[in-house]
Amino acid sequence: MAIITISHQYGSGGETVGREVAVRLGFELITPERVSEIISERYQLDYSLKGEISHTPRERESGKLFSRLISAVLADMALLNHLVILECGGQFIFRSFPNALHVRITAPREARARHVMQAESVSMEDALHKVEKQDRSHHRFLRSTFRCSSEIPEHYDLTINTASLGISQVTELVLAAARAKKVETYGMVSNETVERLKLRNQIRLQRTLTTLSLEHNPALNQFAHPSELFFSRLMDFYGIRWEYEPRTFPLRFDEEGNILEAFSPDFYLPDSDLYVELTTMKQSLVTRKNRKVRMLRERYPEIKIQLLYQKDLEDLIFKYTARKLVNPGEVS
Amino acid sequence: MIEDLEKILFTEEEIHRRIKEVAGEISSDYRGRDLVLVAVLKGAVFFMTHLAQALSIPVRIDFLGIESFSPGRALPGVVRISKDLDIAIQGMDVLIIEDIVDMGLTLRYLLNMLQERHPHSTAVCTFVNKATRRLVDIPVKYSCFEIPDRFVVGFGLDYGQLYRNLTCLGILKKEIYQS
Repeated sequence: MAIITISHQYGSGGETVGREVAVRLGFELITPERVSEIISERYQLDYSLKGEISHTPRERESGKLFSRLISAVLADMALLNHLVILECGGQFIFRSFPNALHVRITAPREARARHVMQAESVSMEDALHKVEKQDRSHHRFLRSTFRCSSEIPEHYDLTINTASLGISQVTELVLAAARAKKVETYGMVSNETVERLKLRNQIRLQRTLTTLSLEHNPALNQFAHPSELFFSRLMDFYGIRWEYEPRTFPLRFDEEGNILEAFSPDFYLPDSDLYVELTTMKQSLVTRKNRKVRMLRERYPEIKIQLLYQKDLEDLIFKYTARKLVNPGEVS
Repeated sequence: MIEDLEKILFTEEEIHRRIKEVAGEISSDYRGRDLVLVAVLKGAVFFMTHLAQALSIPVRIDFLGIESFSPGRALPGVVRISKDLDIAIQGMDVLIIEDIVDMGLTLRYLLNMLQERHPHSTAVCTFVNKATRRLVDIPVKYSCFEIPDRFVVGFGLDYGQLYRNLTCLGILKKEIYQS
């Protein structure tokens, strides 16, 4: 899983360099178009990596989810092949991956416009306009999806200005940097590590897909959280009757008998006479819910309640899943 | 491999001794009856092998394979049969052999499915039982060990398909599954 990420300014020749580096090293080339294709084909989600700026909190939330989805897709591909990743926010996704090489390819605005003018046979004015438009669009994508700017030098191991260097020279520089950083050597990881990463990646991907697909589901309105809808569907599949928040248990009272604190467990399973409370990944919420469940057990010892953690739900999802990424809608 | 365990709950010797005890109970309860042991793949295979060899009555064995599938993006986590029984169980006494009974959802699904084939009886025998995590009532007739709500591996139980071949049962170190 050796990784070279190449972020480039439009018209700087970075895309050609990326292709050349991939061919020379025998790495797989990943472009934004390829990632969009995979997301669309495998997950039936329409998302362009040239996304527009997000305005509403929900759209911003979607951007965050898509960054997780892109991360999971790229991480999955990295487990199969050595990669050269053009754009796609690869420099942010693999920022903490110690032996990835992050390259930024840049050039002055006028030099890039000249390149576009020649390559696309347009006027200098049109080329300049195009360069500026692409720069804005790219900036928006990174900001809305990764909350980052591509202009921060610390994000890169190597920044190359192509204004006075040819494509072959720039390619040689990137290849030399890859050799110096021993990208390929350290990209070899044990099968055990690959297996562990696959499992973790699969969980992350499935969780993101579930949340994304539930986001616009009207049935979600009944529930406070997607995991609750997910749980209700699971119960339906297993033929287990359920009620949603049917009862509120007062937990604390003031001296006049007014309720100070109460607790409404998420589900009641009448056949098992059992209440179920779901928790999320947020530790602060887990701690709060643990406390409420403890208080409920102390005050109502006859009531049976089960706290289900995120991991329990993941176990339900993955216990019998084959060790490969499963496309939703497709049998594993 | 053993160094990945935080604690050994049951040693190989303790496991074999306990399986012999449970096998004794089963042999006595099912003597003279038409018993088929049905192991749920893959985890129950280790337990099934040792249990079957410890029985003093003749039994048939068969296997059920289960796999998760997603009928839609909104519903991952449901299961279906990937390997069905080879034996027709109508009129037979079926003992489902499980490595672990936890929340009980999958086992409830299997019991309902097998019930439709009109066996003479169905019962459950599990290697380990996490009764504290149960969501649905499951009639566990035989259980080798009651275990705490911790992440256990070994003797068929896995983490990411690994550790099944540990001969003991132990609690996996947190840093292994949280790394």
